[in-house]
Amino acid sequence: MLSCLIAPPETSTRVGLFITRFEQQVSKSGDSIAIEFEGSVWTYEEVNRRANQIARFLLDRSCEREDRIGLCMDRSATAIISMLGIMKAGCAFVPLDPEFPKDRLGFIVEDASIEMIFCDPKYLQLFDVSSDNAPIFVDPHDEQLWQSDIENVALEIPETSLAYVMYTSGSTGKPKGVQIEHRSLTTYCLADVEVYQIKPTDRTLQFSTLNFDIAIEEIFPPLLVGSAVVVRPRERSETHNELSHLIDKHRITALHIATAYWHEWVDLLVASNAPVPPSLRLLIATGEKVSVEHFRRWKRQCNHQVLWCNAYGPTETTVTCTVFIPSEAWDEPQMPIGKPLVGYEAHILNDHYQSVAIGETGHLYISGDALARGYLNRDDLTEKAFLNVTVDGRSNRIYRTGDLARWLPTGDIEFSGRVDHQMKIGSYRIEPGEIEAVLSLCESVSESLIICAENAGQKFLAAYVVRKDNSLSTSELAAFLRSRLPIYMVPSRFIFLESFPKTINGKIDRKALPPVESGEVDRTGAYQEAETDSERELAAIWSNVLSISKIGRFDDFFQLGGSSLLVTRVITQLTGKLNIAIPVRDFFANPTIASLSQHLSSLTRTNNVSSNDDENQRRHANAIALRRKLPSIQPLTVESRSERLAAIKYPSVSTNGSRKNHTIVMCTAMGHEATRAYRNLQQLAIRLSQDGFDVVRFDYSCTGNSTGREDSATLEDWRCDIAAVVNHVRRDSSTDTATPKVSLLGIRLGATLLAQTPLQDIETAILWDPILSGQDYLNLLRSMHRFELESLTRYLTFRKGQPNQFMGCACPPSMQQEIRTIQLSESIRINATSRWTIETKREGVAAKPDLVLPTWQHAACDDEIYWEAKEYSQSSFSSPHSTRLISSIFGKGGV
Amino acid sequence: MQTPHVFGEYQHLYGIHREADANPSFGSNRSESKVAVLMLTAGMLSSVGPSRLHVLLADELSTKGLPSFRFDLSGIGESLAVGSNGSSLERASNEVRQAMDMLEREYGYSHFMLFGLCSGADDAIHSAVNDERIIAASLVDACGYRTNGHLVPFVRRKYLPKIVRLSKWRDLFRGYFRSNQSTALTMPKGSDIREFPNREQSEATLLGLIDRGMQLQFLYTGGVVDYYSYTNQFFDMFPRLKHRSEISVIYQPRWDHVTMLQEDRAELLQTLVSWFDTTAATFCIDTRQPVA
Repeated sequence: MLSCLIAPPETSTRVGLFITRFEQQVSKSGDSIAIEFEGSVWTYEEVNRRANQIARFLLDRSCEREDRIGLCMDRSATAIISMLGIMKAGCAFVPLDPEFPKDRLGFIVEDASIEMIFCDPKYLQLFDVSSDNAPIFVDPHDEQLWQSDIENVALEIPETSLAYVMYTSGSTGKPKGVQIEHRSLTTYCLADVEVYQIKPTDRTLQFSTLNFDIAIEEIFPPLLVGSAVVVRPRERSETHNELSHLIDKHRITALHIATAYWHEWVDLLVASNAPVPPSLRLLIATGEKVSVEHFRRWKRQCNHQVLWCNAYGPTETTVTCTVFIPSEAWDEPQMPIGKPLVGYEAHILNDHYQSVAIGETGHLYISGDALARGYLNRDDLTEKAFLNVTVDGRSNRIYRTGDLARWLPTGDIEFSGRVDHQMKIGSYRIEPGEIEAVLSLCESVSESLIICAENAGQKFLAAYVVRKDNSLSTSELAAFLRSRLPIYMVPSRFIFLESFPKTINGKIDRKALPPVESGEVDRTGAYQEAETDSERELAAIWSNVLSISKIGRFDDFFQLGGSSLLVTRVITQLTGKLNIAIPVRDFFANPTIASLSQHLSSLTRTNNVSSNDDENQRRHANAIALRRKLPSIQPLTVESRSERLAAIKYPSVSTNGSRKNHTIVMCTAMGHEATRAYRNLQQLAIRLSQDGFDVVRFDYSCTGNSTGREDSATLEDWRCDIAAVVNHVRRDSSTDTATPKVSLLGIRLGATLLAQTPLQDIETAILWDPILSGQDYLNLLRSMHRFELESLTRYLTFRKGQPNQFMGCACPPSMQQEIRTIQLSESIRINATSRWTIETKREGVAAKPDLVLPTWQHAACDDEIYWEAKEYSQSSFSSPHSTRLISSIFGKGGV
Repeated sequence: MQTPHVFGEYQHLYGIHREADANPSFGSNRSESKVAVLMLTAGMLSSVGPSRLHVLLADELSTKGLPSFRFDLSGIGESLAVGSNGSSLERASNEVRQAMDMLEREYGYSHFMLFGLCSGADDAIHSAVNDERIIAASLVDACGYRTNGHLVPFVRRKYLPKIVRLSKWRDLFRGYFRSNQSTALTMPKGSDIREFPNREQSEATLLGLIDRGMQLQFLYTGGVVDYYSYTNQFFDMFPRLKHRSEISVIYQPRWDHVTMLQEDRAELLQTLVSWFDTTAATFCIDTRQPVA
């Protein structure tokens, strides 16, 4: 209500600067350990001196108050010291996640007007260092930094000065910079210390990457009480339960952890029947809704007193604004988000900014000194999100969280969901507004709407678009989005409209929108309409099965998103409507409308010779047209040690002139998983060759068509094979003028092996459902093999089988030993500019490569491959979503 | 020594030629006799064969002086789908012909012995009907038809071991209650359609082949108990083929359809190599000298 907007209230009590309070703590705890990292310790005195040196370094270079200084660094003591030094100089630090796409980093640097970046040298390549207005890059390990005076900097910094800017994704189409002032940081830290009872004896694990607000929570409050921050080491432990190991090894007492990761950890503890590490006295789960079942399991595994907290808070409230600490007896179906921290207030209001009654659902707002100043350079968004209103007769600056909530009789708040149309596809939360905002940047788009649709159990995004220019094609639009959004946010269907149907209130009438089935997909070639009755009938069946309105004569069924299940649906409809039964392999041999129609007519043709001649000519023409869209097959032989590897190269087809000097090497799985993945990888290879890449597939030594005895295979040899193929590709593709780019894609064990191969200068590495734990993988192979021998499905009698073989594949003891020792997170040796993991749906299996490989970008998709399902041990699979993702990742140069 | 080839009307087919060893374990160099073994695609599996069966077979045959070629039918393995005429049997037969044409052109082979498993067995028979260069075929789990004698051993072999297992009853109940759940997106086992002609047609076809002088070996495994369940079923299915020396039949109910276990695969390989070796020898003796 406009009537309740009033002037901003006066600033409340002074809380001082965080850095002033930190310096006071230094005088009390100078010799205490402030930071511990990889076996080295920094006392409070040392940290302060070094932070002072950084502050002076900045001041000497004329940095001024609120200048934004970028931080593109790994977790380390130096990173923390840099944050402190930047704040001491009156500047604001801006974390720049090296895992962000280049475009996103570039946007942040420009948006925040960053003129200086503390940057690990290895991340320099993420920035355009050669441009005229490039920022100054400072190597944090440069001795020059540590030459200045170590005394405290006597600088007058107002509490309302900026301390840092944290970028989050938003519905604007661009990330938005949340501005946190010193006052907010101090208010939050004091509240944190109070609610979590942080003590000088505490040792807090710094686990999060620096661009998440959890890192603020991990680093700063402990430094106000004289306790230690233990930075997670870069080396990963060899144990199955890495987190427990870290806690035990470093005697961690306090842990802040994302809820999803906490769930995983609890499952691990339960599975291994391990207790909660005894040193731990504080655990804070934050970020998502807590599963009460996991909380119960946690209590069962916990043999000592641990202060367990469920924290809630958007970045706009600095970090946490409410906390729920369950009592010993607490046991309810839903976990509340608790009560506001000291210095915060929570309001649950109706649409008229009036408080709702207990139990009634309303909009959750937060107020208090820890609220952010607003969004950098986005006054419009700031005005919408931060309101100055009168609540219950009191003027207040409140932040609209966008969440719905209700008060419980206990005074706790219960979360009730999001206000907006946020969607969830795979494991991603997607703001449709963000995609719509990017679409609005396209000059040929006048209006758009994004919705979530579903076909054959798979959710996907669909875009309704009103064009200014009707020549705008689906492919152009998809390419436009791919260059600006993460892959999972690019819609797979586009429905073009003349105008949006509107309700009487002028809003889009969603119910009146045409069905998504009328939409178009992003196809690799030009659309050609069905020509004959038979083609039209087939197109209608495909259209029905795939829920796509326009099927072109040369569209490949599998590249349109067809799966094996959908093949059977087409065949069923063919039988029902046309009374024709065909084997599945006929479908694989004829994957387009043109070829399948030709095939069906040849099955039913008469003996009319002239008709057959016409038919043959037509078939021949269709086959030539289809063949032109496919790559040539170039067999290769690659020498690796004493073996000869059989390989196939699919050179770029370059249908749209987009040939790239870029080869993708595919590393397949082992044994029966390689058999399952065979067709899928071949389809993907064809797709990528049509995208302009050269693709090379190969068989490891002692497998497939390569030479070598199966019982002499080793994983080390296979890693050598990967390196040999990459070297071969580099030699083969080098020209006088250009060095070829090489990327790698691996699936299952192939993904793990490629990550473990010490290759340099790789553009993009994609790990598709990698094996994370060798022991788990061996257990899976054993269990599947035993099932095949004993289930009386494959064999008529029980079979025992000789040892050292799994599912038809020899696996000598030495190889089993190599597999057993695999812990992927601890053995990554590949050096790639862009690193991705792709995870398909895993029913009942906690794969979660994003948690195990946090420095890799992660994409989850809806494909179900059933690696763990015994009944699918021999079946091929389809993975249209993964294929699109992979094509998009490579298409964007890996970013 | 193996050499990959890309061939076919649209350069869309892929296969690998395996030379015979220069020093075969005994006898003359068979490759000079211009006979090669041609391995056909098994189901939807690539030219490598199930659990590398084709590669191992090629290596073993090579030591006996027999060259071989294994390849992918279009749309399978590395061979590209470009659309084709006729039923899947006709298409396969056409592509087998293209392979033989290429091999004849490149290596001078004039006669071929086929190996086919599952649909590869069906394709082998159909190809042999259309091309007299094919002089022998070894077929695993080829076509089959239930006979009067099929039922009792079928029930005994397939259901008796399950009936006495408590776990199977449990699975049955679970399966029943799960039957209404949403369908998986991956193709379940055995969903493909094999194309068997009717029994009389098959019998006539096979009779025509052996009358032509072809040698045929049939191997049936426990994997096809649904249509083949006892040793002599072959001749109950095809009584007119009884007592014909051109045909040999082996029933091995212990094996599964693709010989997943190494020990089964080794037995199968031994059986196959021995048969191809003997058959090639017979052919060389019959023709007295290599075909030019």
